Amino acid sequence: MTGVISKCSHILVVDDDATLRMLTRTALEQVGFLVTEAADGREAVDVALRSFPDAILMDVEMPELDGFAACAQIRRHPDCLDTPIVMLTGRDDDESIREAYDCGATDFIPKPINWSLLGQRVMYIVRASQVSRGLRDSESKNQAFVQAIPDSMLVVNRQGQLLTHHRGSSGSRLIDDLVTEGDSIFEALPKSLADVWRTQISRVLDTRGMELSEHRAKKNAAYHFYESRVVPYTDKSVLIMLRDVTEQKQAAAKVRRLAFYDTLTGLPNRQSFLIQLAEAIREAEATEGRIGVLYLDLDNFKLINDSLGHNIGDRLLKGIAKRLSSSVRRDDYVATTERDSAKMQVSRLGGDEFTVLLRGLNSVEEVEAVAERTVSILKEPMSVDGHQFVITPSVGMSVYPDDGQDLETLMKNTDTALHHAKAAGRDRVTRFSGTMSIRSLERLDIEDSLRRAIENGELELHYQPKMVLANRDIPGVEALVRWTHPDRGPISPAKFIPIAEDSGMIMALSEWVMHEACNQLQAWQGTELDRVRIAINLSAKQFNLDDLHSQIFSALNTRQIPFERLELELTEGALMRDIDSTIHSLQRLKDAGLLIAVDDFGTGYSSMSYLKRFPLDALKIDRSFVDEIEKSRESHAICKAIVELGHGLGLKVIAEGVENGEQVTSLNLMDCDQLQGYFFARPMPASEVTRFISDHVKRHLRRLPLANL
Amino acid sequence: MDAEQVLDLTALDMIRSLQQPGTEDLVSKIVAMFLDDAERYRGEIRQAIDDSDASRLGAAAHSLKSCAANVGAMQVSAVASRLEILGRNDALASVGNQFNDLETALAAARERLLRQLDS
Repeated sequence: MTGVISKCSHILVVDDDATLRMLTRTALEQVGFLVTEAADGREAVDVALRSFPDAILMDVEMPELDGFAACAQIRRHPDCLDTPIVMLTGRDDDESIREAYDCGATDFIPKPINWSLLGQRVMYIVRASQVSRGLRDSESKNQAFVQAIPDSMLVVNRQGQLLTHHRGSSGSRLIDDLVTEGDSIFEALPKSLADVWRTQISRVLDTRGMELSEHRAKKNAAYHFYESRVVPYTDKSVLIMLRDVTEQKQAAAKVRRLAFYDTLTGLPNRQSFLIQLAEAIREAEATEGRIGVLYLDLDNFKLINDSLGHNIGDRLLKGIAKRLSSSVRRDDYVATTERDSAKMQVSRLGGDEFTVLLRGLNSVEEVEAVAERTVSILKEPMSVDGHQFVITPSVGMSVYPDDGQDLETLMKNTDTALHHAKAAGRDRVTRFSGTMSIRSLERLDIEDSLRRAIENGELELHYQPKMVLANRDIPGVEALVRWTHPDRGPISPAKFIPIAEDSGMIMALSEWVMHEACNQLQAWQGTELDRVRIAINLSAKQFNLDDLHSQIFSALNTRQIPFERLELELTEGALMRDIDSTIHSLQRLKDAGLLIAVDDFGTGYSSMSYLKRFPLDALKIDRSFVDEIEKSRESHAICKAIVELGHGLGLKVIAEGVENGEQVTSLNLMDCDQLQGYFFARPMPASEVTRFISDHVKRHLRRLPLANL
Repeated sequence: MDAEQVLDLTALDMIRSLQQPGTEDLVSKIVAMFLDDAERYRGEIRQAIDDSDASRLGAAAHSLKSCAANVGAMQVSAVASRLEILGRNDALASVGNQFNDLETALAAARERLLRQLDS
């Protein structure tokens, strides 16, 4: 006879009749209830609001406060809204029964009470109350869920009639103001949305599955994105949940922006560029079109950034980005009038490196024209924070398919072209060509570094003494440039001098050498070394310079150095370029007191007839002959011939690259005047060579013939 | 006197049905309580009539009506009910012999109840 109720349910019995209370208690305790008693209405209210019984049995007619008033008071308490209150009414008292309901009573039991049934009766009442409280709780939980969900919810039947509508906090923009309960949503909503849902509702009702869809609506000039899901609700209706996913969309877009766009300029980044290029190649393959790839490097950006700070640098980069993008638009306009498919895409790879992708072009000329136009736009003066800048870019360019048919090749070749553009003096567009090999790329790198090496003090002059064979005197030293690259370490002059010659860098390099040598001569003034000459190498280019004389004269004059202390070494090639002007030029130098030697003699193509017309002082036998003087009869013969030729022309002859005693003996026998080489002394830094010469002079005060050594 | 029974035994039977084995005899206890209460209400009713206190008459008669019904003393309950109505309607003048009827009914009920207990 036990029901589903908890055995310990607590019942308050209210009656002024003690007999009735006791019988009621007995009856209820028999079925397992806990019973509390109250003798009048006031006490009933006190007990009920203190102990919150599971049910109350209440007599009507009581002193102090009657049952109806007590019932009404208890019912008003928020925690007693569902408490079953059963009125114990007199028999057939219709008026009492009506009044009982009016005051909020749950049920009534007429007196006299059937005691044997009372327990069961109250059990049913309590159980019904618990079931209904459970339903109410569940209902209120559902209500809470619904309230907490920001989605708009619609219960709709197959015909689109809106049965229930919960306004959402997020979905409202799209539908909530348009639909009305009882009316068809298909008629109220925009056709595009209605059509999607009409199909989905039918499908959900047929298959009991779920349908998802996304929608977009414009609100206050901005798009909002919505996601809807349609699920079965009852046999004949579906639940549509509509959620505003604009924020998620925006967050996703932001992630995308961070991953694919440069945060400083807002331009696509390297990642995007790679994707765009790959896509462009696919497109060009299909259409047999051309793509231009440009790498842009801002020539003086690093200097601006370092001297004016990152803030200005960043703003400059933004300005450049804006200008590039606007050039894209300008070109877009041109393109759309000329050809629909043409377009430009700008990216920033990082630092001051930008790329421009030119798509949908047909000829190489077109690509070149757009590239030049882009550069000219960049070069217009730019103002940042009161500073005026003219930014010149170095641009490497390659064209698909002409210069590469895949992404890697195109990128590599464009990069090579960029290096060549920089090497060729920057501020230019250089298109890739097949002759730009890896080796030439290394040259470019060296050249680029060399440009900075002078400013950064990476260069140093070493001095190699020359010795007079007859008396072991040291009349002079040859200045040789040494370069220690901060990353690569020492770089051989054999490697970088030819590169400097080719690129024009030799001018700056030679000028630096001249000043450095003059400084050293100045340092030796007034010491025991003040008769030692320094020989510097002049390049062919430098020799043809109009202001060479004034450069040399002013360098010496400002330091008050006697002109005969500087010796110039020129190669045969340099001499033979323009004979008449060379003679004229040399004569001016010689008249001023400088000494002039022909370097690497025997390797070039000297015209003997002209040789005698040059105002020279010395010939230097090329080291290749000296090297083989003991092994090769030919080399031996050449050395001998050069010595004789020199002497015949009244010139001193100096052997270079002397490394052993046998060579010295041979050269001595040939009557060669001076020798230079590791056998005697290697090239040394200034301080070392100063010490070397001083020591040498002390040790050989007297002029001893070499044969006596 | 009217047709009401002096003692409706089904009331006591129902009380007896609540009797749990091994506990105090419920019917005896209830009857004892009724006899006490009835005597008290009788006194109150007498006093209310003497004091012409209609509302007190109504309340006391109502209480007696209920507790008499509990034990099946239907005649007492009926007389008490009539007194209650008089009291509620402020009709003390009409009480007449009703109090005597109440005493007679009470005496009869008491006798029958005590006999029930003895048996």
